[in-house]
Amino acid sequence: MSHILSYGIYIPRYYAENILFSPGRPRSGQCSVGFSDEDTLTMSVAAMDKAMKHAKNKVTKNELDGIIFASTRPVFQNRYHASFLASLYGLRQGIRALDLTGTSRSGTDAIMLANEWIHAGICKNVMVAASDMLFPPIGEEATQACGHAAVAFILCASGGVAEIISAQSFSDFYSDEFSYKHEKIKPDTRFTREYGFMNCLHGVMESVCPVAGNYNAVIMNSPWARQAGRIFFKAGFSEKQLLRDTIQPLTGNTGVCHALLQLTAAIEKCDSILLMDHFNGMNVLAVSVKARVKSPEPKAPLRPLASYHDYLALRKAGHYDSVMYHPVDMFSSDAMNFRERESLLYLKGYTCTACKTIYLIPSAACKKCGQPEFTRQPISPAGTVYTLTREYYFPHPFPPITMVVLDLDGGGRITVQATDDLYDDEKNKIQIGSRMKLSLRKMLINGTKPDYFWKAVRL
Amino acid sequence: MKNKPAEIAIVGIGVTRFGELFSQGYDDLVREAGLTALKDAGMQAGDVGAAWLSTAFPEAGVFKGRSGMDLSEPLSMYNIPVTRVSNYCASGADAIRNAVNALRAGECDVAMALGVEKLRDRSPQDSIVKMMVEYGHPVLQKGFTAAGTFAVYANRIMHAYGVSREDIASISVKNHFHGSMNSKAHHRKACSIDDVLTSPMVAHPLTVMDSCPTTDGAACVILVRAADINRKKHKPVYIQGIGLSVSTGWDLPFFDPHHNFLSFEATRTAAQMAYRQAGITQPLNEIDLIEVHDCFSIVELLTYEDLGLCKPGEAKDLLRGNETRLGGKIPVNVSGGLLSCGHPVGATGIRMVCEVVTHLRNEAGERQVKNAKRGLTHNIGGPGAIASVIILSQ
Repeated sequence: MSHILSYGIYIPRYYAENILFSPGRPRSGQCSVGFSDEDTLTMSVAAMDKAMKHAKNKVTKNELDGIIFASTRPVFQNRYHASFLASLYGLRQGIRALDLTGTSRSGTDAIMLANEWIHAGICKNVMVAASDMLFPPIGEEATQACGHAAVAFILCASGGVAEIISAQSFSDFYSDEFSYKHEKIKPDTRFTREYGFMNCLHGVMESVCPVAGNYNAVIMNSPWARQAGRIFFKAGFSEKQLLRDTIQPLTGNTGVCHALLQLTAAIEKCDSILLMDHFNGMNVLAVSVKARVKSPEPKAPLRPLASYHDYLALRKAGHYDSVMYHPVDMFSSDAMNFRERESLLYLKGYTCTACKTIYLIPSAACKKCGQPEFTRQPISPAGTVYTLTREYYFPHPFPPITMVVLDLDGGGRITVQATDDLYDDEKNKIQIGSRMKLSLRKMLINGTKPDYFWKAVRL
Repeated sequence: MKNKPAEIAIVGIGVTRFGELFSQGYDDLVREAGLTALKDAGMQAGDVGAAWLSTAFPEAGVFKGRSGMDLSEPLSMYNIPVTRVSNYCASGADAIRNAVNALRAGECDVAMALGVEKLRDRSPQDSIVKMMVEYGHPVLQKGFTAAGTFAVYANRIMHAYGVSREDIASISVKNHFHGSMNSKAHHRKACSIDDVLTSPMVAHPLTVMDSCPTTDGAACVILVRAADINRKKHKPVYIQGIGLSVSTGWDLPFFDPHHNFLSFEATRTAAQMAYRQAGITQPLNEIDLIEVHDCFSIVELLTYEDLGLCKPGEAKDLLRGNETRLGGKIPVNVSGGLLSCGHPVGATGIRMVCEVVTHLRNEAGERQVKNAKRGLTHNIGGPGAIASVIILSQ
């Protein structure tokens, strides 16, 4: 089997309270909502970065030899997201890369596949990035999954916070709601519960035969989890062992991430975990925790959206427009993106060997001292605002855009857009001296392929 | 020992009205400015031996001005070298600089420098904003408009030197007042501090009234060597010093940790070049009027310090003491500046030279700077990367 070396979680800053979606019938709970410049790729990068940090140098980017991307909302069609992620994040070329997209079980599918790659000796260190950004049809948010999140796991042969003891998959014909040629097919609810879920769970319990005494935590990821109690009790489990889903009230159902987010919550307080992820069959993982995670990852977004209108504005998904000007034709170049990736994506600066000034963009000689020799090294993604402005005429979903000139910790300077700044209130106002960090986001898109670059968010 | 370069004089000037000139095309503007300047010099187009065309943004306009032919054709001025000059907002001054050098080199006996920009055949959003949004590097500096690239200076200066928002706004008030006396300015209405502060925000803290309008216009000068002046028909004004400096790049200021956003090195360097040529050591006392590149009001404030009119941090004192107003110690932008005249980019530098020439000829009427003997023009562009300073005298 394999080990979970570390994990990282990314939850977007904003959330929509469920009451926004059905004001006439108040419902508790909320769902996390990604900003208009986020997608499943940018959120994956953020989660991957946290996973690498939590690995505490036990693995380097160069040592990752496999990556799996899981999502029901891939950005592109007919393009490998795992490979694109590997390039965005600076992993080496030629590693094993695979996309698993299509159902909400893809997250645990990816963990199981990574586990098998390591167990079989195909890979030594595999990054699993699961991310979903679910926008149900307008008007159906109250009844459909709509949480946005990303979670990344690094799996390896030994060490880390937990060990995957066993991993099994139980196939079943029967499905919950699915789509056929853009038509949603919704079977009868009670039939889905009894035959789609209960019958499947019976089958799992009989074939997998989990021993109740081996676990102090059971996660059942399914909307029918509450109905599963009697089957678990019959198998010898007690109510104490059945973990409630504490993630959904904070983020909503996050699709491929949901089972994995519940797993991280369990790793942070339990010792032996049985994770069961149901959709069209069931994945069953047994996980033994080896080390208690210090500083658990936050699993809740921070700021509520003020209105359904603001939620819809975030759904514009990066369409930049203004009353006065409709951008049509943004210059973009794959050749430029490729050629400049070391500086602009991987944040490798040029350090003058004489005066140690750090620049992000190359030149023949140092502007300060005139010497021509430079070394290349990574620059910090965090810094302090040196100066800024708020642009009212640049097309943007939420004008104004704040442009910040950031002095980076340890040297170097970068000028970028600020983001996640939907509400410009006094308490959160960005000003000279504010601390910010860089977050990879989409740049302008207007129905065209996005470029990815850094923007600044509050630290 | 180096020979002293030949003295160069401006003997003809021509400036169109600046504004939304919907009835005039690019060629019309070239003709008006060029023929007016030639008439002022008592010359014909055939007398010109070489010419320089300054149009900074053909793509933001009507796609004219990419080549010297766009000067030759409307003026029917053929079979001479005509060069298109492009150095952002310093294009006009650079056209003059090239003309001066050509005269000194003996390439020609009569040189023409003409700047023209036709921006209002398209909506301003579709020209200037479009450039920043759709063109240029796909990710670097994306989010900025031209105003924003200067607004970051305003915020830093306010933080560092205690400059107030009202200090910055007072430049707009001053220049709009001056422009109300200039029949060729785009905007000829005075305004108050409150008008400036309450006008729509463009890039914080700069409002619409802190920003120059998008403008059509053209300006032209005819230059000769001093030895070729015809005293019977010419009213010459001499170029005593001309400096041009590219001191940084388009992106570098925003990625250079040593750039303090309190000053433009290009202006300081260009000024030092021009002052050295003109023998100026105390500009506040040795210059009578200045035309400064106030594309945004904050640029004028910074430029007082960069031109050495005061120490760093003290520009606000010049403003608060009304020293740069008409009648003050060193009148700045008595034409109305870019804020009032507008900014047809390629034409602006040449318009400023024409303005100073007018004052040195004692022909500026209501806004005449009394006893003006020496004047200075300043341009900066790109944003802040390229600057020019020209010193003119009687």
